[in-house]
Amino acid sequence: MRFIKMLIVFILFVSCEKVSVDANTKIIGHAAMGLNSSSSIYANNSLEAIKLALSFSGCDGIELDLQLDNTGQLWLYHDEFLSSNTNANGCINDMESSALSEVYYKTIHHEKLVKFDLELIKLVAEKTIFLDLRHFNPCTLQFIDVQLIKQALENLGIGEKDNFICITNRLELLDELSDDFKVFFATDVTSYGLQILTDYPTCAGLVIRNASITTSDVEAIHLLGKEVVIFEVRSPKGTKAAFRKSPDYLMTDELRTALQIAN
Amino acid sequence: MIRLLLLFFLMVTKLGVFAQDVSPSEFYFPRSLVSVNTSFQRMDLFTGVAYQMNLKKIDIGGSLALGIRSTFGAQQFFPQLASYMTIPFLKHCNRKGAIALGPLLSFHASFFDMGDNISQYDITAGYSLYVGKNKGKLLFIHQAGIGPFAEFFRSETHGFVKSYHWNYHLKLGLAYAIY
Repeated sequence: MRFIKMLIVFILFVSCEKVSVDANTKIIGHAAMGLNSSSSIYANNSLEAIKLALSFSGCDGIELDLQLDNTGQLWLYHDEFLSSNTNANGCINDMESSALSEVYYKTIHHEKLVKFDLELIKLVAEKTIFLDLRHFNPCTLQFIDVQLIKQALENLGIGEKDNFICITNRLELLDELSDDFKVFFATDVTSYGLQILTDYPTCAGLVIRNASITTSDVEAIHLLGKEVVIFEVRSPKGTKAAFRKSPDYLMTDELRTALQIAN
Repeated sequence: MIRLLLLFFLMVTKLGVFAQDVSPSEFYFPRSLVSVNTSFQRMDLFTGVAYQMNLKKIDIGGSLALGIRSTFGAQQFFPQLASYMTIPFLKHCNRKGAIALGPLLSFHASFFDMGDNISQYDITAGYSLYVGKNKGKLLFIHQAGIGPFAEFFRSETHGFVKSYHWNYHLKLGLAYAIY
């Protein structure tokens, strides 16, 4: 019994080690409050989740998933098919804005599908906003015309806003957008990402999974004068590991956990 | 703070050993229990201690728990206070063992800091089951419930923020009969 008591006290002291968080690392909510997070309360990419995430004092910004409809409007939605999370079927790329405005998530709150328009931009204007540009239509198995995506972003004046950052893993889109917009390239392979940063000097940074990048990789990217976003961060252990790498942005799926650790 | 609480609970276990000498003269379901339990909830996995007592046909209890993920993982103290009431329609005890089963109504209040001071409250309805051997001295606890959940905090930028959802809890634990 005495041994068990001593063991518990020892574990408690050991577990109280506090991680030091780089004050320059900005905390970004993945799809607002996090993807597949039970603590997020609201559906990802919903207006309710965006408002809640941005109301947390320590939250520096959010990431949103953008998909283009067939009338050239942008909508916030993460998955490929609408049927996976909403009351509708098909793909956003094949639907009209009028039909999409009636779509809602299959959750308790029935959050509406959100259109990425000037009203929303005004709402989130004070924070850092990452825009994950979806460029593939899974229903027709065809790539979206990069000019259509560029036009939609230009119509909303995204290029004039420094705090709005585009994310893509399509080189054609990176090439087309990086002169007029702040664009990060998403990859799972750091060496490939470093090569892209060298080949595309206008690319502003990389978006990489936590498991795929080390502290020295982050330092190498910083030496090129570029920024790093680390994503796929969820558990307290993973979040601490990501913080220790001192990225410019930590995109978390458990916003509350990241804010607790940073606080 | 956490260390002090732990030391307190370690001392409480000593009281439990003392209470073991008090045995009932006849077989009846324990009127007073202390327990350790773990409760799986939307926001965290809470582990803590509880005390339950019998008031005629009603059993009432209170508990103090810590959110493991937040307190030990993220190093932010995440306490949860809870009170509950159950009316066991099945309550039986004999030489071989004891059982109590009935509807459960519980209230939880949790608090934590992540830059903003967050308060969370929920009221859940469900069921409670106690099963044990050895005249009900040691009982296995299982409780589950679901109900409305509210979260409040004052944001630096957005003023008073409130959000509502549903919470659930699935609790497992071990109880020890005091008398």
